[in-house]
Amino acid sequence: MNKTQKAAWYSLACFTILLGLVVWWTVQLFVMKERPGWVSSRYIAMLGYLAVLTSGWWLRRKQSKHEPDADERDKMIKKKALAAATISLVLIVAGLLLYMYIVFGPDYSVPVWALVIFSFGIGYLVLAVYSVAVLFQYGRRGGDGEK
Amino acid sequence: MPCCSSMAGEAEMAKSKIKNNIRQFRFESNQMTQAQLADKAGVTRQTIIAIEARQYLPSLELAIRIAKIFGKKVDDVFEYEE
Repeated sequence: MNKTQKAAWYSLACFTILLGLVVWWTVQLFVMKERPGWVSSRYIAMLGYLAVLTSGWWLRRKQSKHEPDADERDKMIKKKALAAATISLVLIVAGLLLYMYIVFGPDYSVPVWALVIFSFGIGYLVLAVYSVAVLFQYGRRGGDGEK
Repeated sequence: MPCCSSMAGEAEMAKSKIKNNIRQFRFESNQMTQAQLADKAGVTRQTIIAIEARQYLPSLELAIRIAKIFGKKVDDVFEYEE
């Protein structure tokens, strides 16, 4: 696995972990009707820190000392993934605005904190699309072949 | 010259009409591994795998670099399949 693939897997893992946490906290808050526990949050943060440390070391490792950070094929794959991410950004924002317009009507106002959450949420979603697009292009017909 | 530049990467997914003899030349070059060729050509091993499998068409520059590593002409390494 080269550095571009590792970075994509890393982003996807971060997205999945964050999504899991958000779902868990939402369930705690709105279904179980209790505030997220301080102790469990601390353990999750510690585990997250360990995961980031481990994956940081793993990401820096190269297949060989001569391996470039990104060669021409990696750059082409990144370019296509960026195009996919940009299109998804437009579609997500347009979809969200349309949804809010239909559900809340044209005169509804959104609180500032919601905009911050929307921005981060959309950012992570676009990052996930980018990572999937990168991995999809490497993955199609692509075994890792012989050593 | 059969390959490459402007079409580079266009054949990423579909199998290219340009076949190559990289695998054969690697074995003739003292059984050079894909990793060794990648290091010499300044690309990742995944790129060599994709080129050999005809899933990726290299740029003209990379094609020349690969041919030089084997001491061959680009035409010897890459051929257009009619």
